[in-house]
Amino acid sequence: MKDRILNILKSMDDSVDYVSETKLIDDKVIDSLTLTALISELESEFNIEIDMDDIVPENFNSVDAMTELVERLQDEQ
Amino acid sequence: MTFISFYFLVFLTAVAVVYFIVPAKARWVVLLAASLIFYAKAGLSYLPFMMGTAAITYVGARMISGIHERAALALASEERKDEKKAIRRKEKRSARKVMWIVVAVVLAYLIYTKFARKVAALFFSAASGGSPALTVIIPLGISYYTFSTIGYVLDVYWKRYPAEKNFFRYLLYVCYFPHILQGPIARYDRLGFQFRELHYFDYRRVCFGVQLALWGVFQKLVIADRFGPFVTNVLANYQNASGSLLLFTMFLYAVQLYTDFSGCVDIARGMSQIFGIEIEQNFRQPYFATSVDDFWRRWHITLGAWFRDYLYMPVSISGFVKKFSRAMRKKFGAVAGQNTTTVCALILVWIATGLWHGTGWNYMLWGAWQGGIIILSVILKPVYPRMLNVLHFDPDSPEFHVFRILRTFLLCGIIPRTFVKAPSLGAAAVILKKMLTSPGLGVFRHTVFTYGLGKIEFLIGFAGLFLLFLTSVMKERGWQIRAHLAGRNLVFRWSIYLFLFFFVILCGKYGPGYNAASFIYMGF
Repeated sequence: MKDRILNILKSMDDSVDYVSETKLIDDKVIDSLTLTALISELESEFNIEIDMDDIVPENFNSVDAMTELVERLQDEQ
Repeated sequence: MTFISFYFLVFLTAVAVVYFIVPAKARWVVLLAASLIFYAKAGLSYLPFMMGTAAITYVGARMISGIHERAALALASEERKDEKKAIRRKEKRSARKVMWIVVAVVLAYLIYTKFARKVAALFFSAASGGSPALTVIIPLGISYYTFSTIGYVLDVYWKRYPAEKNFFRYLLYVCYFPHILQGPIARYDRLGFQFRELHYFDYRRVCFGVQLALWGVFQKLVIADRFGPFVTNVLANYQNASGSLLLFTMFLYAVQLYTDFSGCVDIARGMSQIFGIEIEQNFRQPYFATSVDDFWRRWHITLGAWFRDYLYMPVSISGFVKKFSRAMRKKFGAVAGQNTTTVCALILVWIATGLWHGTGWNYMLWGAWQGGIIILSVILKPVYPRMLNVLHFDPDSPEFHVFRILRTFLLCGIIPRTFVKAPSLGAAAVILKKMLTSPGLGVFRHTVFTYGLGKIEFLIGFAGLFLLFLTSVMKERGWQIRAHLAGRNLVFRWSIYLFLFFFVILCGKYGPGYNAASFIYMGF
C-alpha cells in the first residue's frame, strides 16, 4: 500500500523525497490545491471516502501517516 | 471608541492595570468585562446581535460535541462492524443537522445585513416606484465574529476539538476587544484556548506589545491618513487627471489600504500582547508577493485561510464536485479531473471573497479578476516551464524575481482595486484606459500638488513609506526586528523608540473629528 501511495505522490511532484519527509503539510510541501488532488487520487485508488474529519495535518504529514489513514478507512468502510 | 483616541488610551491603560492587579485566574474576566464595555460603547443596539450569535453557536457546538461523545462511548462498547457503521452514520446525521441549522441562522443575519437594503430597493422600486428607508442594524465586526463563530462550530463538528463548556469564556473569544473592529478572523483553538491559560506580567512582552501598537499607529497616522484625502480628491476628479497621475494615485491607494489595515491589526496585536494573548498575523509583506496566489497567502491571511479551510476544502471533497470530477477524469484524463475539483472550489471561494468585501457588481468583478487569474494559473501550470524556456527567462534570476513582484503588484494592488475604488465601473474603465493610453507625464508635475497634499506632506509621507519599506525588507529576510532591537544598547534602542514616537506626534494626521470610522476594513 505504501508503494502505491508513494507512486501517487511521485506522479504529482517527483522532486520531493517523500520517504524521509515527515512534515509535508506543516512545511507546506503539499499545499491545499495539491492536497485536494491527492485526496481525490487516494479515494479512487483505494476505494475509500475521505471525510473532513480526516483532513488534518497529522494524517497527511508523511507517507506512513497516509498509509495508516487509508488502512483505517478501509477497515471502517 | 476608536483605537486611536485619548479615551481609548485611558481605557486600555485602566484595563491593563486592573488586569495585572487581579489574580491570574480571574484575568480573562477583566478582558470579558472590558470587551463588553467596548462593544456596548460602540452601540448598545449591537449587543443583542453579537450575544445572540455567541449563544446560538455555543449551544449548537455543545449539542454537536454531545453527539460525538455519545457516539464515541457507543463505539467503544460495540464489537460488530455493521453496528459500528450504523452508529457512525447516526452520529454524522444528527451532528450535521445541528451544524447546518446553526450555520444557516448565523449566516442568514450576515447576509441580511449585506443584501437587505439592495433587495428592498429593487423590490419597492419595481412595485411602487420608490424605495422606503429600511433600517438594518449592522453590528460592529459582524463579518469577523460571524466567520470566527462558524469556524468554531465547524471545527467542533469535524472533531478538531471538543466544544467550550464555559459560555463566558467563549463569549470573550467572540467579542475580544482588540480584534472585534477589523479582525484578524480568530480560530478558537488558537485564540480561545489562550483564555484558559494563566498570564503573568512580563516586562519584555509588554514592551514588545507597546512597540508593535506604536508601529501600527505610525502606519495609520503618518502614512495611511496622509495619503487618504489625496486619493479621494484625485479619483473624484478622474476626468481631469492625467494617466500618470491616476497610476500614481492608485499606487498611493495601495499604500493607504495596506497601512490602514495592517496598522490597525498591528495595534490590535500589540495591545493584546500586553495581556499575554497572541493574535494571529494577518499580513506578511504582501507587496513582495510573486504571484496572485502568493499575494493572497500574505494579504489578509486569516480570511484566505478561513476560506481555504471552511469553504475550499469541504467543497473540494463534496459529493457533487467528486462526481463531476470523476466524469471529467473519465472523459479527459487525470489532470482534467484534478483541475475540475480545484476550479469548482476556487470559483465558489472567489464569489464568496468578492461578496465578503462588498455586494456591488464592482466587487463581483474584483473577485472574478483575482479568482480568474488563479484559476488560469492552475490550468496553465504545466505550460509555464516550457513558456519560460521559449522566452529564455531564468526563473531563478533576481531580475525575473523583481519582474514577478511588479507584475503581481499590478495584478492585485492596482487593476482590481480600480474597479472598487473608482466612483463607478464606467469611471474605472476610463481610469484604466487613461493609465494605459494617455500618461500625460508632462502635466503630472504641475497637477500633483493641486489635490490637497503639498510638497512637505508628500515628503513626510514618503519618508514614512521608506521606513516601512526598509522594515518590510528586513522582515522578508527573516529579521525579528523587535527582538533585534531589544538586544542593542540602551541609547540606540531608546533613540529608535523616541524617533518613532515623535515622528507620530509631529507628523501624524490627527485632530478633532478623528474617529474609528476612518479604518477602511471596518466597513466589511
